[in-house]
Amino acid sequence: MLANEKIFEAVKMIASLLLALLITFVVLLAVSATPLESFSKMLFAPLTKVRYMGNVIELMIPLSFAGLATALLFRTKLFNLGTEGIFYFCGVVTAAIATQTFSNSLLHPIVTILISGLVGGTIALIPGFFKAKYNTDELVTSLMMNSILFGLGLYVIKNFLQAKDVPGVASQLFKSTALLPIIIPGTRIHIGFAVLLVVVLLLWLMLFKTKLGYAIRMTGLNKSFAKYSGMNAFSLFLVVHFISGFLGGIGSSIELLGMYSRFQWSALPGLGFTGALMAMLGKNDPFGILAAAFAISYLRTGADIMARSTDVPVEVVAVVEAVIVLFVSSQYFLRKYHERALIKKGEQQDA
Amino acid sequence: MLEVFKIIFTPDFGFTVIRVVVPILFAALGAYVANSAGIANIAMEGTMLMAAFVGTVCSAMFHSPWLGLLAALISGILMSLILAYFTLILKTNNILGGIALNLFASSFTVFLLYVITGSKGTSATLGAKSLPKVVIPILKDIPILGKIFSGHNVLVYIMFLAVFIVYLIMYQTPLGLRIKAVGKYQDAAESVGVNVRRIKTIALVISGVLAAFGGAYMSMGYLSFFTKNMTAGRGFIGLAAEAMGHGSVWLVTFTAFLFGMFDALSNALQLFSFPSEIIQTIPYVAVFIGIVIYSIFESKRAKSRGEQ
Amino acid sequence: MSEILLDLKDITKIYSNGVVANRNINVSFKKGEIHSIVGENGAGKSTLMKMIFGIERPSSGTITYKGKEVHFENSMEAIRNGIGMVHQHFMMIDSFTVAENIILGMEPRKRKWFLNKKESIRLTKELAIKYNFDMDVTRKVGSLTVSAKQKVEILKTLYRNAEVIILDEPTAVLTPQETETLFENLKRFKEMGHTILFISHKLNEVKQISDRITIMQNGISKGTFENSDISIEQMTELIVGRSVTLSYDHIKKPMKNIKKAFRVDGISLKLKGVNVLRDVTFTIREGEILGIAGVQGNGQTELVQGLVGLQDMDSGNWYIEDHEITKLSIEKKRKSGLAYIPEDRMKEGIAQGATVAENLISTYYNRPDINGPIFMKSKVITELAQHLITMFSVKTKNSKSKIESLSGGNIQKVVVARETNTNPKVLIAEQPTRGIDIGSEEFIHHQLIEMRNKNVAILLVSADLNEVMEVSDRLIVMYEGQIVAHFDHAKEVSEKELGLYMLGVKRQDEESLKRALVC
Repeated sequence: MLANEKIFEAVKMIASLLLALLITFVVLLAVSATPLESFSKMLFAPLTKVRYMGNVIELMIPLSFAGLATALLFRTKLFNLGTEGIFYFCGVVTAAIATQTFSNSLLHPIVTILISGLVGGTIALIPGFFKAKYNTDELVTSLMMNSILFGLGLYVIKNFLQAKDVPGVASQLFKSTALLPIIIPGTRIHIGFAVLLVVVLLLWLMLFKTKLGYAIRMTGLNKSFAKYSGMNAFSLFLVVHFISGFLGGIGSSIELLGMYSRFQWSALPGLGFTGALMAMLGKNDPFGILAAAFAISYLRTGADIMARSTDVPVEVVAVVEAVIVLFVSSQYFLRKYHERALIKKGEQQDA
Repeated sequence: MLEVFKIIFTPDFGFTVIRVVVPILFAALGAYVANSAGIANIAMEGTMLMAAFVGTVCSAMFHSPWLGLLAALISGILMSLILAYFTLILKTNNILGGIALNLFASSFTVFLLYVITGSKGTSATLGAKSLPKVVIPILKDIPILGKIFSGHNVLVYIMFLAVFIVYLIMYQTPLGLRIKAVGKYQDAAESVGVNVRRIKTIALVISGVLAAFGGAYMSMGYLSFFTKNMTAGRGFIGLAAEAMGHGSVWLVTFTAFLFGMFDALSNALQLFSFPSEIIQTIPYVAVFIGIVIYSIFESKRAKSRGEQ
Repeated sequence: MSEILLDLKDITKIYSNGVVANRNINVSFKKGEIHSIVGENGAGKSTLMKMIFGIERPSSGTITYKGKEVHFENSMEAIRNGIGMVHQHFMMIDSFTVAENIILGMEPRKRKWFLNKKESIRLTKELAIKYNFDMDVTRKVGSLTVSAKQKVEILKTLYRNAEVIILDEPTAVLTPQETETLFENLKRFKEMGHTILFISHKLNEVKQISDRITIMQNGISKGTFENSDISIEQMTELIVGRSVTLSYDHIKKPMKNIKKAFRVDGISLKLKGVNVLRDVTFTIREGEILGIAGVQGNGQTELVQGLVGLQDMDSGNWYIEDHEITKLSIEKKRKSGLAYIPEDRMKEGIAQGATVAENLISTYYNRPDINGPIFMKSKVITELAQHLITMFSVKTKNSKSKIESLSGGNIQKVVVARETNTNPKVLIAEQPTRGIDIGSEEFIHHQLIEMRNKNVAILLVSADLNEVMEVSDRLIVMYEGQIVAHFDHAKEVSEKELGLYMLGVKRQDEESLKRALVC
């Protein structure tokens, strides 16, 4: 049974999760006065209230967008971590438009989100272009862009959009016409969730059912092969970067308009790197990322609840995440069981 | 504009450049060793951060910055060993593994910070001692040079030593030859009995130690406490410096100094009335432009060699 | 000299993807003998040698060396025990010198921690002289000729006091003359007490050089024989289980066409100051196979890469019928009727991780017949894939299997199926049957000839003299980037004579060459 690829992957994931939880528990033993209580709070608390599960879904939305944006790049073997900077800067763009007066409360958010996406896509073209044309290391360029975009965005907020009556980094209030409506009462889950589901479906269809998706996948699997077959890596890299930036842009916009009343990020929100985490866990597959985002969101919400009522800080969840990712993305974890099962299967077939 | 020039061509500026280049150069040297073995150490950033934390906290715990430094180095070795384990034995993609470790370090340091000090921002309350500054006799009295080179934190001088040691290792020892062999053609090295995994691990550990020096400097030399995410991308700037100085330890050092200069420049310019957020992006812009120019040259060179 | 040095019992090797490379192999090697292991590509010879050399570990079975059971965890242990290996694809670092490549891993030291560079040069120079290889050990390996590189590989094993020397397909990259020299050297090594394990699929050479011969087929051993006890025909039968005739005259339709399908004019390329291609000009007619013979590294690879658009040429034009395709993108070149079977199928020919069907459509994924307005027509694709799988007898569960689960021969069939399915006007086939079993090789040759009979112009580039001589109609030889010989009928020249052109010893005169090439 372990010989089957898919089953083996699932087993690996569960084993990694258990291992991660075990290590986390050990850490809790060391730092908490009430390890058992903290641990079970982290694991089970979200299930106790509708509001908590709502938090899980709410957090899942930006995580998923970040994951989808990064996954598209990872799939094409582009290790671009620029979603971070794009998320921040497009947030600023969102603030700029959302604080303008618009009479139409249907168009306002739609226009804001779309423009945010377009800006994100355009920005992403910069490292994309250099990579496509000169093979410039996209890891370095994207990381530099993150800091540059942060500086630029911060400058714009402080000097053009700052609300005078609020301390710290804060934009004016978003107009009510821009905000996204809540779709599940009793929670703060907004329509962005529905948008997310649609985007995931569209992305999956694009990737597996269209010729663009085919070209993207083949280029990611073997760039020489794609080139030899006539696929144009240059334009593909640009397209992938644009779509990724677009996803980051709309993700940022949806998050702000759905969950906040003004822009208040004084530092990079950390979603870009977490997006990489989602991509790795979800194996670059749109639905996989949705599931991974749910899992991580669940863990973080649980950790958050735990942190509020115990002596353990919420950052302990980083331990879980790092361990899971490291084991899940390894190829050799538990491999010898898989191999033994394959040998057995081979022997059975010969007999 | 004239004001700016007045600032750059002073010995004080030279002093500042050396002061800020330390983490970048250590990171660049670490990247150089790791890359020579063919295994990019993306976890440099996280290793530096971890070392910065461990260094100052242990310095406070043991009332000795030297013990703090030792602890920081050990943490650097550990981070590298973890990366080596996952990348070389469990065959995780080394870029993904590095990213995961960086994320881990980023959160875990804050976690421990809170557990130990009750604050999530800074460890200043610990009152940890930094590493001492060194005034070099005779040198300090030489005009201009004395002002630039004397009076730095001891880790600065260790940094200069490190450049030389890395050179010795990579160009004059069997270990260096093997590291380069593994990096250029792994199968060839393996075919003559070189233990590729061991060499890569050693290279990673060396790069981890170098990163740890850089990190320890941040919290026990540059500043005297730890703050959240204090490395601010210097590990990646070091990676970029290595990418541009590819293959030569001297070029790597030169490029690191170049970036250090931009970092110092951005510090200096903040004294003027330019907006600080924009000024702070200068080093990153410099690195961006630098790596673009480098890759344009490289791609033209590869074309003439017939690779595409 | 009849003492058994190395004994393999019941060796089995199964790779992680389920492929059984060796099954229950029993074979022993004596001291001071030249022992050949023969079989076609994919028979498991290389895997067996890798296990002897410690690069791979057997899944089960024992290896006994000098009376003791050994489990080499890595090649270092094998080397320390006196086993050396010269690989088919050279394992050397081009930017290192000869001396550095030889001493790597066993470096002479100065004050324990530092390299003793002077001593390295002295030791390696001495070794080269002792074994009659004269070479400048301070040169960078990247600048050496192929046979010189092979000498360095051999010196590497001798530097480490190898008693057993494994040579994996050593003559694949040598001319007939260089092969003779190699055999003289091997005989000398044997007299000096070394044991030579000679891996090959070239039966003539094996018959010439071996004391004993072990035959492998499909991962199992078909037995070990004294050279005098077995003939080439018998060896062939054991290898393939039937006698194979590599002769295609009977299926070739007579050529009637004089219409020019593919015209190449004046291609030149200079890389790093070296003239890699010099004014290469030739024409292929419709329904004709033009073969390019030549030792690898004389510009054939660069020529093909240039023709298909993977590398820029300094000058030259080429045309399909009268339509120039020189500057067109790869996609447009293909649309103009060009198809290409690449030399390295794993690197360029397929995408591992994709399914067989996905690999089959890669060169026309854009075309309207398999695409709707938004989505790809998956039913059409599956039907097409299945059709091709059946037509080409590709052994696979179905079109949705991952391509890497197929054997080498079947993977190559997928590549050939894809390239021929576009109804090309010109097909370039580069080493089309390298490393695959005889059954698939024959099948692919038949496919090529069928295309020829359907008026496709084919350019066949191959280092396998047999293949290029039997399959081609016309033959040209490339040497140092130039065409040095042309034969109107591939049958009119012998292997030995071709070798002379390939080595640059002989050249046809330019005038008659020019006329013949442009026909």
